[in-house]
Formats: sequence, C-alpha cells, structure tokens
Amino acid sequence: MIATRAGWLDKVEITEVWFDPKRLPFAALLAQGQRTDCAQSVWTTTATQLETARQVLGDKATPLATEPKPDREAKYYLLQSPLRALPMTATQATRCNAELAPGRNGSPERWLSPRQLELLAKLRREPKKPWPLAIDVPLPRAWAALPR
Amino acid sequence: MLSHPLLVEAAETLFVPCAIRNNSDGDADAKVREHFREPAWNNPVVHFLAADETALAPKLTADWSVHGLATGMVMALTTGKQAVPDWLALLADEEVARRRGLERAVFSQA
Repeated sequence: MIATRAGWLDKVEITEVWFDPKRLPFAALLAQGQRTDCAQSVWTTTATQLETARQVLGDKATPLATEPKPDREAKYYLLQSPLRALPMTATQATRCNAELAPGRNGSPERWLSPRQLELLAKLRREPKKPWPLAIDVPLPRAWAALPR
Repeated sequence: MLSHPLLVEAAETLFVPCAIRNNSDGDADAKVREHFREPAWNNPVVHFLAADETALAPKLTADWSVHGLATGMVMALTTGKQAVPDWLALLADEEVARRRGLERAVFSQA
C-alpha cells in the first residue's frame, strides 16, 4: 500500500487507497479489508477490481463515479502528534499514521531516517514553535518550508 | 533529484559521495573524469562504486529522477552486501510503484 486518504463519499466516511497491484493484488487488499472490517462497501476504479469485488460484496461493490471529498483531518493520528509537522513520503506518512492508531502500540520511528528522527526530537522538544503542517505536502517542499 | 532530502541523506550517510565537474580541463576533476572514461561537457552521470572501483549498480545516465537514484542506491547497497535501511527501501519501493502505475480503490466500513 502506497498511500491512503480519509474522506467522504455519498455521505459515507471512506478511505481512499493507492496501491501497487503488482505487489498487492486488489483481491488481497480486499481480503485484508474484510478481515479488519474495513471493507463493507467498495468503490472500484478498474473493471478487474469491480469483477473481483462483486464476487465478494455483491451490489456493495460499485464503480467510482464521483470524486470523494477529502476529510479535513486526513491522517488523523498524525495530526494529533508532533509527526504532523514532519516531512515524509506518502508511504512513510501512511505507515506512521497506522502505527499511531489506538491499541496498535506501534513505533512510527521505525520508518524514519536518522535526520527525520533528529527533526522529530526537535518537534517534540519545541512543541509551541509554529511548525508548518507537513501532512500531504510533498517531502522536498515540506522540508524546504521548515523554519531555519 | 539531489534536492530530495532523503536522497541527500542516503548519499551522505550510506555512501562516500564524490562530485566531479565534467567541464574542466587539466585539473584533478578532469583526471578522475578521464580515469572513468567520461567525456567532458557530457550529461551528468552517477557511478555506484565499491572501494576497488567495481561497479555495484549500472551507471545512471538518463533516468534523472528520484526513482533512478533511489533504485540505484538500493541496488548498490545490496550488491555490496550492505544493509538497506527501511526508510530508503520504502522510498525506492514507492518510486518503483509510481512508475509502474498505482491503482486506487475506495473502501467504507458502512
């Protein structure tokens, strides 16, 4: 899984998932979503996805016809932590957000480089400094925007 | 691509980076360039070398992208039997996936 984004579609709270089908086939992603009770309905973007999803979910699988509206608090767990200001790649942000989920007792640090860890320590030491929000900002741009 | 902070960090901390100007003549940079048979005023290239100058990955000549350098670095570390840190592997994997083409699907608990 490369990236995720929380949002709304047809008045329903949804998660958009971008994935590499060569490494994570849609059927495996759907099966994992079913196991974790996160895939009761699916909006698909390819004919193959729709065919696979219909076999599992019946008419709860439909082609995506409308663009979802992104949640104002996308990456909710990052937003509640100092990592909200840490420049990260999309995959790092997705992994770290998942590590911070309640009950997970995870360690987002495992996905970060030594320099990102140094910066994270600074973000934790100086929480009142007006750090710019880095969530969903491309890493080079977020890094360049950091206060000197 | 050399403005990408993670690539800069990888170059500085996992390799011994060495930048050689390719437009000089008769100086130390020119000697290195000639040693590696690189023409002057050519497009930039990146060699991934072991200490004995063995190539650890194909020379980067055309793919001037985060994908090109990140995947070259991962291959060089792997060939050189060095550990590839998770953060660099994640970057390379993401770039490879984006180049291959991502798919999107939308899920709901309802």
